[in-house]
Amino acid sequence: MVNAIQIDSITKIFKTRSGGKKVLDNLSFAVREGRIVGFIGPNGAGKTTTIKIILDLVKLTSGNVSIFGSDHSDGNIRERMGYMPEKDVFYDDMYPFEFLVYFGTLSGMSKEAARQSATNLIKVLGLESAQDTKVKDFSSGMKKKISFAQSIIHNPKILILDEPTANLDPLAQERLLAIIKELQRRGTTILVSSHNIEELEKIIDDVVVINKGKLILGTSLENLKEASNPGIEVNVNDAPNAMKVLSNYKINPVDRNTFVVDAPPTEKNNIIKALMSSNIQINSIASKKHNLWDIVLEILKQNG
Amino acid sequence: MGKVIQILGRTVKRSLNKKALIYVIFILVSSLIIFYLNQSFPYDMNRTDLRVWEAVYAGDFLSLGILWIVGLPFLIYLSFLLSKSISDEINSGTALLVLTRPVKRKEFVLSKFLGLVVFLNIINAIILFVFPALANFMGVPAIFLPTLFKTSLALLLYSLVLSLALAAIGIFLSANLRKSTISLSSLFILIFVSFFFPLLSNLVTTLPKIPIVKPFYSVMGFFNIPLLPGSVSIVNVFTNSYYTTSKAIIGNFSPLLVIILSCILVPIILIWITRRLFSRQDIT
Repeated sequence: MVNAIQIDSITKIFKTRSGGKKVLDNLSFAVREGRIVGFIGPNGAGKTTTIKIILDLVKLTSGNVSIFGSDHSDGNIRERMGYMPEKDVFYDDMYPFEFLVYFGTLSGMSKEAARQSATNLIKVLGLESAQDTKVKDFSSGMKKKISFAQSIIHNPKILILDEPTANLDPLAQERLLAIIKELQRRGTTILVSSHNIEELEKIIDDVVVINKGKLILGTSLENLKEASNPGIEVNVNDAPNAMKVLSNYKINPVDRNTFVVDAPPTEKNNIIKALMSSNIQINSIASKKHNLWDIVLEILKQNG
Repeated sequence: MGKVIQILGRTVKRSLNKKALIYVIFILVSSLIIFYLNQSFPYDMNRTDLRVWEAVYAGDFLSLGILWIVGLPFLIYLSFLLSKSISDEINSGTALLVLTRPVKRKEFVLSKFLGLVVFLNIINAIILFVFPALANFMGVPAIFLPTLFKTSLALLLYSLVLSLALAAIGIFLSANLRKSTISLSSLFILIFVSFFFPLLSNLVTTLPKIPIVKPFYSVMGFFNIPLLPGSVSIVNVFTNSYYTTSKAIIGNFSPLLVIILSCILVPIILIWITRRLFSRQDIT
């Protein structure tokens, strides 16, 4: 099966006065068709540059990028791609409907189809009341919505979102995430770059983490969570004694009655048996759950 | 082609703003004032006088058009528009959005170029065709209106040729220099030097007498631009220098051919170079 986006050993060096700045260093990863991929990394990791290379806005120093098997510089491929930039971008003199129709028709839609799609999107995103307001006078949240709308007006097969939920209120965030999920159900492949990892975790299937222009991790969220082992948190009345009983495990004390056993979730029953056979009262025992934020933070710390 | 027309239409629509209206009003009012200050009205018009006055009106309007309506104010206004035509779209991010659509970079450059040429000639057409009507309203006999309208048409053609040449230079600068102030300064230097160059060239005959200038005499002589009525414009400087050079290299040229070559072929070459360079640029 052909990947929706295939990135092979891309390197980007920006020319500077002092010679050059390497922003991407032999980066490779793939985005499988129909998946939602979280694209994560600290500021300056090279996420936006990678996105702009995929869209052929920034030229490669070396490497290859293909979209559904075709070279990314093939202009026609962009009919099937949508992009929502991090910074909200508009023409000062345009109204939302006009703005959406313009970008719809530029994407290859007929004027009628673009008008219909723009009307629907304005309704879905709750922007009907702002139709007579120029986009430049919108609130930052409304600008984000209209920016999102322009990226999906032509029903793209690949959607690239750069910080889509920034400046949105919680309700609007929920609605946007629901639309993203709906787009996936309709067969759209989505690459989302965001610092809002808690929100990302709700929708993504795969994770790509980069730092300093290099790939740190590329896997499914499920595999990532399975592979990360946060341990089993135990709360007892007699912690010193319990730790002696469980001395064959690596133990990290948390407070007077709580400690974390460095063991996979499958060990939970054995721990309960061992403590009960020593008559130690267990107040609570639970496999500690790592969220994506913790995992990514850990990975980034490990990788400098 | 559809996308070129769409971006062209957007460029024209975006440029038709309050500033354009102020510019049109300013040019119309100032042109009428200049025209009237430069006029004496015909009192005894017989058949011979009519022809004379017709020539006077046409001549005055033509000079006014070349020096003012399609002259320095136009060139300054044009420079402001051109200097930020592409760099502003890149800096504001709108170019980024447009180029993520199936729009080729060459289409983007071409549509910005054509959009500005169309816009500049729309506003010049308004000025040039409203002017005779206003002049008539202010007292110019209706009998001279056909002559004035013919002159308007000639000036509009001149404006078209001039804007083609300058828009190509402006687009080239704007696409390659991110700071519109640098593009603007470069265009200003180009326009002012070109505008006043014929005056300098008149000094060519006296310059060799100054010892320190002697080594540069051959350079000045190379351009050999005479001070003629109507030569006070970039097109004339441009075509004259081109004509002189071409004549020296190839032999006698038809002046019309030189103008066509200069103002049609050169923009094509410049736009082609701009397109090539712009295609390699990073849009960040």
